[in-house]
Amino acid sequence: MRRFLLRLIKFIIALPFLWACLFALAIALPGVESRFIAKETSWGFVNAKSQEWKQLESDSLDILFLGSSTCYSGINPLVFRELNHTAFSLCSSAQAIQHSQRLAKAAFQEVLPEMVALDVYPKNWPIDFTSAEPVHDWIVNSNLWQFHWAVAYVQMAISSHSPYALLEAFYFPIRRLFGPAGERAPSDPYGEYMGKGFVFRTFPPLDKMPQESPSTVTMSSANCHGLTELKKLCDAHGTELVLINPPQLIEELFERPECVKGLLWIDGNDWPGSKTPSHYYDDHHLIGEGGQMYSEWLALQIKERAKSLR
Amino acid sequence: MLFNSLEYFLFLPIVFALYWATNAWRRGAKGLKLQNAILLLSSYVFYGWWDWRFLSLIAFSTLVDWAVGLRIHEANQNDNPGNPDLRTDRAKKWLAVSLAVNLGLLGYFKYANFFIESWIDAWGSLGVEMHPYTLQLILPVGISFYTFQTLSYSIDIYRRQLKPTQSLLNFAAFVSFFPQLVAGPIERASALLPQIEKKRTFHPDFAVSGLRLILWGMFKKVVVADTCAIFVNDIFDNYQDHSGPTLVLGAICFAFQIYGDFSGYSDIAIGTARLFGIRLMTNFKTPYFSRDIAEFWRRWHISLSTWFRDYLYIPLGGSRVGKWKAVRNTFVIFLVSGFWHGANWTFVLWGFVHALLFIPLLLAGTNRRHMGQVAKGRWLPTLRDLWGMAWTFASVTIAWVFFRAPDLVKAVDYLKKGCVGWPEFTMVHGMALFWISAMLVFEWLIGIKAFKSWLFGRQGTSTAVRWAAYAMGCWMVVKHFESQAEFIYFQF
Repeated sequence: MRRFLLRLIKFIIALPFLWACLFALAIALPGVESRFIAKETSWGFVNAKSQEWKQLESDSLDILFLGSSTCYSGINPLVFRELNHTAFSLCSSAQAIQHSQRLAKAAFQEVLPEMVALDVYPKNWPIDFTSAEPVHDWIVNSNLWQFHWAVAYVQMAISSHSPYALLEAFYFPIRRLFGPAGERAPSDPYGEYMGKGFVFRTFPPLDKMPQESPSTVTMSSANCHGLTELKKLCDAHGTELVLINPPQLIEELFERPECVKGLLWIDGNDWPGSKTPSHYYDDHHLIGEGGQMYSEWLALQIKERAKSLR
Repeated sequence: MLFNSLEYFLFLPIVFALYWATNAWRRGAKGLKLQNAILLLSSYVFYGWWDWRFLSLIAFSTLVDWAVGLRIHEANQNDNPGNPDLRTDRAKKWLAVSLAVNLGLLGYFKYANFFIESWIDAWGSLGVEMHPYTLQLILPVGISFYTFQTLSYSIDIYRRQLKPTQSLLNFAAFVSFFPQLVAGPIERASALLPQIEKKRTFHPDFAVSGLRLILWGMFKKVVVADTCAIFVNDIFDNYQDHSGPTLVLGAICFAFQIYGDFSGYSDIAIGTARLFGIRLMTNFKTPYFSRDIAEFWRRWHISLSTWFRDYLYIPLGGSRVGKWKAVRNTFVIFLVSGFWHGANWTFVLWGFVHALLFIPLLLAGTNRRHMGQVAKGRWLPTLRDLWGMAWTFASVTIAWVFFRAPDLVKAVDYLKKGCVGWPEFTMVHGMALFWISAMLVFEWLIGIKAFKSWLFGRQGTSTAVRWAAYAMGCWMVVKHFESQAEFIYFQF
């Protein structure tokens, strides 16, 4: 048994060195990186928005948007400029409430917003342990690698039960530091980055209502917990928390859970264009023009209803 | 509990440590009892992780077969001591109890709805509408595997090929041995029970070979099979939208998905058993390198095909009867094998296609032509071997379409659509093809004796290559681990 355990321990000790060789190869050869480690992507433009965030000149911000793809393709923070407010979106694909809470915690170390507007797409509510997609997205594509961001990514990886994301979190900061400069991500054929986190989707619009029936959803305890934590964080910094239900062609059926009560709730389905198929490219994602129109309506709603911006 | 889950990676070291700690703590019979008690408990935890209610089924089946085994043996001993070849009525009756209980449970949980629906459909086709009443049944994971294992125990005792165990603990540990409980290999009592009844001692090289198999099995499952699955599911679900070449590629990928999935499971099971000092039978021997369908069936799901051979085909007369009876027996074994996989006509037709492919070899007397390994002692196959392998793979892949499709109409439609739209590919999954090629190259190389002895030798270069390969394997497994997709054979 001793001989077996010794062999095993020797291998476990050698493993990081062997993986370090793989890292070295992957840094030098993009093909090795994309095949054996991960492929950088511009889908959702986490690379561009994190770079822009890094270059923010002021440490104050009026609105920080957080949420999933309905947020980055539906809400254009640039619209708020016309109302004399600064806004930025740190939304990414499949970003659940728990992920948003961890990203908010890191963001608050650098910028203190007056308001956090959380896009809560109901179809993501029932999931108990969160999707690893946004974790990979942030670790692989983000340009934010200060300690507090790294902590946020690691926490996201743990909550998503993704050991591989933890390994990626070792590789990508090293690659960004020592690797050759320049993007390795291919361009996104269906999106254009407009700045402040907004992605203008160029998919062809729908021409008719999709034939799907609405489903009933309830928020999982993990998501409720994330929301409660986010509320605590906002309260501690005097930041107002607003929840936004994004517009959908086919609305999910739900009852607002206890943890949502008492928070300002803006329903995107009240937007007059919310049931027009040509504003969407699927049942819940807006195309660029639809997003622009919805954002203008949303900006007025927020201006009118949120206390912090009065 | 899934092999490809985080829970299993915590569970396995804990059980391993407890199991071998008893070796040092208690010697002799008490130590053996303790080892088997740990095996039994851990197996029940492993199985109960899915649904603890079904533990009662295993426990019931165990109790029945243990008691029946003793009764059959007693009847064999006492009723006809002078004539050991004569099976007595009492032994027959007890065997019937075992068959009724095991096949009854299997039939109820696995086939009840199928028969009800087929009955309704049959009347419906005659214009008689019947109320579509089906039972709300959940198929207990692994029921097809452990019932066959317990059945072989009773039959072997009845045939006087095995002595029953007196210890319920040992028998329960044999039936529920967790590495192979839910998807095989279907181990015979004559091979596994003696190992359970004897105290195991730790052999480091045996355990290392087990870890190696676990890693290779994981690679086949999470890297090859799960990568193929993404492509395959997309193509089979939307086959109307794809061109012929893409459908062909989808079928090829499914052939490797099911191979990676099932042989990967078997490798992990065999490797895990080795960590506990137990040897399980080989279940797959590079089946896609087979040169004809008969060789394929000697290399694919060996534990099931030999089970059917020993308990169904040979009792029917096997091939040592007249030609037409041998043909009938071949049809029976393939149809039953198809039906064993699931309660759907697609599986029956899959078995039927294999029977059709097998029978010409049987009639020509060439079904035992390729008994050895392909290209033995050579690095490359001959052109004749290559042609045989390509032909066999193509036939097997066509049959897999019936296995994968949800119903017969869609299977036929898929095959029809596979013939049109050439040469345009509407979708290609490069990574799936890359990993399939990597697996095939490695399996081919490992079959070459010179390469195998170099790789697993003690030379400095081979150790470096081996460790690099292990490190790469571990990396790829962790990379693809997230999918935690169930094994295909769990549904059977």
